[in-house]
Amino acid sequence: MKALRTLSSGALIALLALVACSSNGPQKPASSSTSANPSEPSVPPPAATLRLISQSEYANSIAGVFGADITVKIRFAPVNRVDGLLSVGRSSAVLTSGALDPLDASARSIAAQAVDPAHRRFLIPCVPAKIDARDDKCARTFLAKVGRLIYRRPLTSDELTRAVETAGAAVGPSGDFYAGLRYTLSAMLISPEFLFVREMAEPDPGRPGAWRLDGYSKASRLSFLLWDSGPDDELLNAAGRGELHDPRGLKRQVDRMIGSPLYKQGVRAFFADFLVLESFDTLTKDPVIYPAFTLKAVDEAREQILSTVVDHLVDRDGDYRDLFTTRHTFLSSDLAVLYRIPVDIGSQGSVPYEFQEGDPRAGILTQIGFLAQYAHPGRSSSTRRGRGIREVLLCQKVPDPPPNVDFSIIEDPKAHFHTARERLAAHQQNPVCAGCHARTDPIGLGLENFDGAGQYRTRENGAVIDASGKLDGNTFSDGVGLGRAVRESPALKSCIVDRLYAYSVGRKVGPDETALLEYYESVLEQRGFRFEEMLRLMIFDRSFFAIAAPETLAASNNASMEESHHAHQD
Amino acid sequence: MPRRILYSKYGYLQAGGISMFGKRIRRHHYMRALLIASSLILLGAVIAVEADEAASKSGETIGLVLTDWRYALYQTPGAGECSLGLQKGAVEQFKAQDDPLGHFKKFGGTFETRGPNGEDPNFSPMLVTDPLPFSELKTNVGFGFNLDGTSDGRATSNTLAHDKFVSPEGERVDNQLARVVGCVQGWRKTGFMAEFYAKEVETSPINRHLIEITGVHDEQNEPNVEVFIYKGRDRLVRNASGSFIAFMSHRIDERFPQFMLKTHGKIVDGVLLTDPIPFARLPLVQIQMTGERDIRDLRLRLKLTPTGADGLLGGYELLDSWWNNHSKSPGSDPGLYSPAGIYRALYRYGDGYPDPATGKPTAISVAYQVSAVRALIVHPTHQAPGVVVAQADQKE
Repeated sequence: MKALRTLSSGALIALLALVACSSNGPQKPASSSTSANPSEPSVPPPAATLRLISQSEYANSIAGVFGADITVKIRFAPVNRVDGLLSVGRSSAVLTSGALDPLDASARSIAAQAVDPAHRRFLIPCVPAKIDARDDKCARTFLAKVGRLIYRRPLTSDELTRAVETAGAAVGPSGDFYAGLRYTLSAMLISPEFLFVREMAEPDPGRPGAWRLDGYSKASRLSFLLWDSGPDDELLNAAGRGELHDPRGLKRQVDRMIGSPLYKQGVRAFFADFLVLESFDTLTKDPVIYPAFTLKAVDEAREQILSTVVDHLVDRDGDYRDLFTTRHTFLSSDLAVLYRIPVDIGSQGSVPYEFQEGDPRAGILTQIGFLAQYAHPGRSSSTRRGRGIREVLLCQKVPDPPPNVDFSIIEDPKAHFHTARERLAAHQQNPVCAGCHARTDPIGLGLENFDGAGQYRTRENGAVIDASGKLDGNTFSDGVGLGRAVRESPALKSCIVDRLYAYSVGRKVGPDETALLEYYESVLEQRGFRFEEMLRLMIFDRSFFAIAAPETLAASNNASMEESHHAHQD
Repeated sequence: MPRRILYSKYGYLQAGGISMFGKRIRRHHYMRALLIASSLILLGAVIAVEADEAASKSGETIGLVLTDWRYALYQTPGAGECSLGLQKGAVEQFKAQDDPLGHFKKFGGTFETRGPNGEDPNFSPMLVTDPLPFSELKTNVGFGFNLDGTSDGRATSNTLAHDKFVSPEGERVDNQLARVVGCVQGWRKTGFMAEFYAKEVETSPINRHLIEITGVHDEQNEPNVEVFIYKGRDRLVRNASGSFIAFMSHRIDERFPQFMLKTHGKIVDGVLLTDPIPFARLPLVQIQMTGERDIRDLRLRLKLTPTGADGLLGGYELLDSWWNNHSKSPGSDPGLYSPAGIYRALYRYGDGYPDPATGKPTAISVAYQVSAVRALIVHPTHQAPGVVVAQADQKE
């Protein structure tokens, strides 16, 4: 059986010299992964992907392989957000030599920690006969075990032989068996086999002529989706036995993974990507205007969003749409200042908190994080908030402003505009601006009771704030009402389905997959948009692991490479 | 019958709740603390704190946490208000005494072994005599409260005759401790001890003083408010511009009911004025030493702002505890003062609560300049670990 490696559009790395087609070792062929739902549309299978792992996937994988006490200090170079997701952008990421330097340093640091005296007796399953001489048997035992977790598949015979030889040769100059392991380990950790998730295809014996992901590629896709980390030993074992091709075996593993504490890690990773939470890394406010908006408050605001998401979607098994109306959240000390709510907790951690009926806050739109994220450093921004809702939550594109916007009307000191509504009304007198602002501002004005740091207010410059508005025919009078309107927006449902599917497969979703996404949405419309339900619907769908045939791939690859080439020239 | 929790021999503390601007976040939790301060060795005074009332009063609540605490001193550049300039330090006093070299050879130290037999003047101040004179505060300008109610400082039933200062507002005020420390470089603004302690006020949770004002309907003028003082347990936080952040949550440190105080007060033109608290114990870490302040007739005068307060805290501070706090810390060398001179001045200027038997003062009038930011004061909502339920309370 011959497996096929395919590259997604433009996935490049200078040091990657991956073989186009390779075998992944012995695997038991199994029948097609799931039975087709009668109403499920048939869509053309997509290409397999090659994507750069994320910073959190890197850190979580290291913790999974070596333990959580291994210090990982690295900051990945930013990647482009494509179709609303960094994870999709990583499928066309370029790893430059500059970006490799910190990865190399991190690999050396992790390898040194893994074989140091404090860790070797736990991580290395054997002791060399002599510490100052090579011991190929011990090295082979360790490298086979750890290499399988790092590469997310068993090492090939050649790979293992080379690794053992490299480790043995490195003992000579250093006179230290463990230095040899360290040397080899750091090479593995800088290898594209670790840094890139490379999906492998194989013919699907259950569907003659069709192709599917191989077992280990399925394991990686599941693991990065559900755990934000590489597969563990049990998942790799299941993949090796071909169980992931069997619906019952697949379900058994998915049940286990969703039942694991690591599942919350996976949920957090998706929403950190989906909700653009990396913007908090650079989120600052004018300390004179917002003295309580500290760096710690920023971190806690980000954490509040994720804690609310996990609490609502995992612990409470709530409907995704209710995330915009829920009154349950968590508060921590430095964040509670901005809410003006006392919390019975010290400087670390958070406590559950429920906004009472009638409180001006409910749902994540009225949390400090969202409000501050989409605002100016010194004032609120109805436009940014409206755009954030449109683009991030409803997947609706709002064009960038033209470079020559005329702000003279609203910047005129004699104008005496009291509120954002008045300023924006004046701004929209410019017909060039009016088109886009008509899409953003009526929504964002619903959050005007919150200043640029997300603090509640009823007046601006002495004038009572009017936070009324309308979304998709639903009128509202304040931020809580806006949350209800967003909850009822049809675009909210299609957006989460689109984004989650793209995230789960790690690539751009093509126009020929629209029918599939509509099918998912129609099913969830009946079952409810519970997050676990969404995941299971996609994972157990016959399309989830389907892969295009090699001929299709070759053509697709050529087209993608050409497109990428043109993009770089641009 | 609500449970009662015995914290110490001084009193008990009962379950409470969180209050903010007069709203009860947890209505069924209420705190009630009764402090029978028996220090009590000296006074046998009884202080009762009904903290539960803090939340049950109508009106809103103002919470404050102190961020700065200094002696309220009138000082000018060049120390022109001091008769001989700034006090001479302990090392200079040592050098000026007879045969310092011989003393050094005999006892192996300098300022810390100035006694005739090498005694430390911090512990045996009366065994040491300063050869250089004490620089007296000669100004009549000062800050403080009119504690004795007189305009001329004549003796009363509780005070000894003394000179009054005139405040910038023209009030005759008492602050005899300013005459003791007012010419000490270390305790003046930017001085070593003043700034070191100011940092400790910020960084040590022992120095976390919370003030809760309840029953506030009008922050500018309110004829009757309740004022509670607690020890807090949380940190102060500054923002990037160096300002203390207001409206942080500050939990009452329920382990120390002896530091819970209550009094009445009023707000006049935005200034909080409190009735005196007969006897107040306040936690203290000062120049790395832990102790407590003991102040009789403690009162506050704080100008309230939307984000904090500034003003004075004053009363009659007990001489024993004041000296204990100061003599334990290693301040005489870097602070540039002589313990022997300071100790004598302390009793020379002491004006409060003379001992009926000896007629000597047991306290001295004092005023501290304090600053605060607004805080959300969190009342305890759970039983503290390790407490014991008193038998008498169980029967109720």
